[in-house]
Amino acid sequence: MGERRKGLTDTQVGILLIIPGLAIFIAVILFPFVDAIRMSFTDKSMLMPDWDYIGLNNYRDVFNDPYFLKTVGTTAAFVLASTALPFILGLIWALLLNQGFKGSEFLRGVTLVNWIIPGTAIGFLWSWIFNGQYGVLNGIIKMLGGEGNTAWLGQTSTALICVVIARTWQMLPWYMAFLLGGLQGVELDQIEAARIDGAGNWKCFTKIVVPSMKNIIYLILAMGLVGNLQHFDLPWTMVQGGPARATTTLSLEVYNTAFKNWDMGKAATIGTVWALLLACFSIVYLKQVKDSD
Amino acid sequence: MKKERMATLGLGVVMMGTALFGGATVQAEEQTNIVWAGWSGEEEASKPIFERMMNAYREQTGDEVTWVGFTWADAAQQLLIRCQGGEQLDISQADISIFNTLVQANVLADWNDIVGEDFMKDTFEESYLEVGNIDGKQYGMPWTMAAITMVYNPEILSAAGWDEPPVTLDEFEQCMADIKAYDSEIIPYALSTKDVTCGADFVPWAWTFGGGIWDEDGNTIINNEAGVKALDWYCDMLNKGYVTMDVGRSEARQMFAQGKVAFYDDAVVAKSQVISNGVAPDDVVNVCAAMLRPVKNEGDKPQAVQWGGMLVVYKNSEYKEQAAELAKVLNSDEIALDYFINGGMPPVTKSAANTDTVKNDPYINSFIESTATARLEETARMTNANEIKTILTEEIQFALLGQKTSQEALDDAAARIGSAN
Repeated sequence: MGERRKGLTDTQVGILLIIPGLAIFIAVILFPFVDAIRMSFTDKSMLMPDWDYIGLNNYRDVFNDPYFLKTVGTTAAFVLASTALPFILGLIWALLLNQGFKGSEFLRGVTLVNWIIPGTAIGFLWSWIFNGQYGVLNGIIKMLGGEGNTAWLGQTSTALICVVIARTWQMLPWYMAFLLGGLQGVELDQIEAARIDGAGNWKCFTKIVVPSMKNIIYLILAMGLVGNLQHFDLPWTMVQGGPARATTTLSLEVYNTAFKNWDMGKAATIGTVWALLLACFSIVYLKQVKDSD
Repeated sequence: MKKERMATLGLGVVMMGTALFGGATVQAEEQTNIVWAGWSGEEEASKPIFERMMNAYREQTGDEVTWVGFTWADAAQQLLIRCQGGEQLDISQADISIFNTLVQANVLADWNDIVGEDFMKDTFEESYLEVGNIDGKQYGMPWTMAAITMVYNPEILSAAGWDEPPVTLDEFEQCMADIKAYDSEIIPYALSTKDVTCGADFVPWAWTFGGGIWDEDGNTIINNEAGVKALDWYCDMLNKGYVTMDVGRSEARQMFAQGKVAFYDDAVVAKSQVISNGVAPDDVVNVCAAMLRPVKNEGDKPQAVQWGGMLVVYKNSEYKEQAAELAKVLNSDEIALDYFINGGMPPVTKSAANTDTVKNDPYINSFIESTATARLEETARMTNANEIKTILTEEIQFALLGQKTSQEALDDAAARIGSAN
């Protein structure tokens, strides 16, 4: 300590230690983010090197687009369903695996396989399952005596559900792993005491297990919501936002606007609105992290 | 000891440097590696042909060529991103639908400056050169020119009682009904109902009904009576089970090659998919033949869309000369005829087009007849062609799925196209 006083103070050392991380943060996150916000006020196109500031025109165009609200609605539906469904199924699966029956460790390992498969591969796999002409699902329906000619990915009523199912299959292990970790931290003596007092399974679950896991549940729900709000792979590889925009989420809209319509300014505008929505969930997540500390 | 360690370390660094940089320098002096990008080489059916093309270039020049591929749908943005990101890109294929986008982005070089105007004029027909010429600059070198028309499976039609393909829309509908009655598992017409091919393929049908996207003065007319009738007809075909949702060009191609589809829209490349499914090149005409698009009234002009693949060289390329060598190899008689025989792509050079192999080929003859009246896509000279086709696709889907009437869908399409312009 004595030697350090001759050289750098604790504060100075701290600042020096922060600088590399801060530099990377500024270069990789802050600058692109600020630049994207700046770009949202321009008419920048991928095709033309010249651009001008056009004020709030992009924002006006985005909010006047008759399909923008529909896109926000589709995004909300996708995010909520793709978070709730794997969470519930992951919780049930975690509860089962937590019973410690023979083979539960093997099953836990096998379940994680879904999670490590790349998103695009999962997208193609489920596209094949749901394909209207040669899909596995229609094949099974035919075997059972049905017509089996439904274009699951070609109907507005079913396309989003198909994507949510694929996303659930992909993310279930992630929820399961976190929830299983949470379950293993629940105090067993509390449950035993409750059982002695006459509590049934449901009461033990709702009054002891869930409250004990409250923090982890909040955390994974917040992370799940943010992850799904950012998600791109499955809606793109399976349906590319169609049919009739039924699966067009904000992430696809940004991609299409930037790389199909070449309109970087408008894409940055949608991205900025999207980032604001993401920020709402991120605040919940950060608050939860802070509380759990 | 310390000195010894430093000397050993220094020697190691020098050796590694020699191995890494010295070796690379020697290699760089001996061989140039050019980057060729596109999508056709990604298609399973074409991969062996493209490998032969690149081997021919390697053998003839001693240089190396690296293929960078992506899907057709992603081609334009991938090429632009690669250019603007400063990554090496020397030559690529570009079809009519993305050619103008690349020209407008100002990333292409003029072939006349690289190989000379005389070479271009001596090698290619004037009409082919015109497709790749914008404002007097020859940005596109012809490579595979053809048209998108309708192809059919003669065996299926024959089994359904049709020895000749239908000529009028009434006959076409009757033919589809007969095919459905013959085998309900067969999709009579694999009409594109998804991705940009849906919007693109709607336009020649709109032409057939007397409509289009714009009139001669540039007014949007997609929602006129003819356009609405065309879309009503689409909906009617879907309701009768002649067409189905969730079909794009690639699915149609694959199912057609497997004998599960009677009609679909495609370019000459249809042949390569059929061959890759085990049909001998000489037998292709038995299961895959081109036809004139059915017309509304007998005597009307059948509609087809001019389609063409070009080779483009990039302004920032350091190896334009080598890229030109590759282009010459690709358009050499030997390679062009290989692509023609095994991939169905008709050659564009005067010399290859006049060989007996091409002139006596029944498959290509049926294509040439059916595409004689082909027109350029209405969006061909637009930078936002993809956006227009996407708008059309989305609004057609709204109508097909019963969420809007044909009139409402096309009114919305017209409004959106107006804003996009």
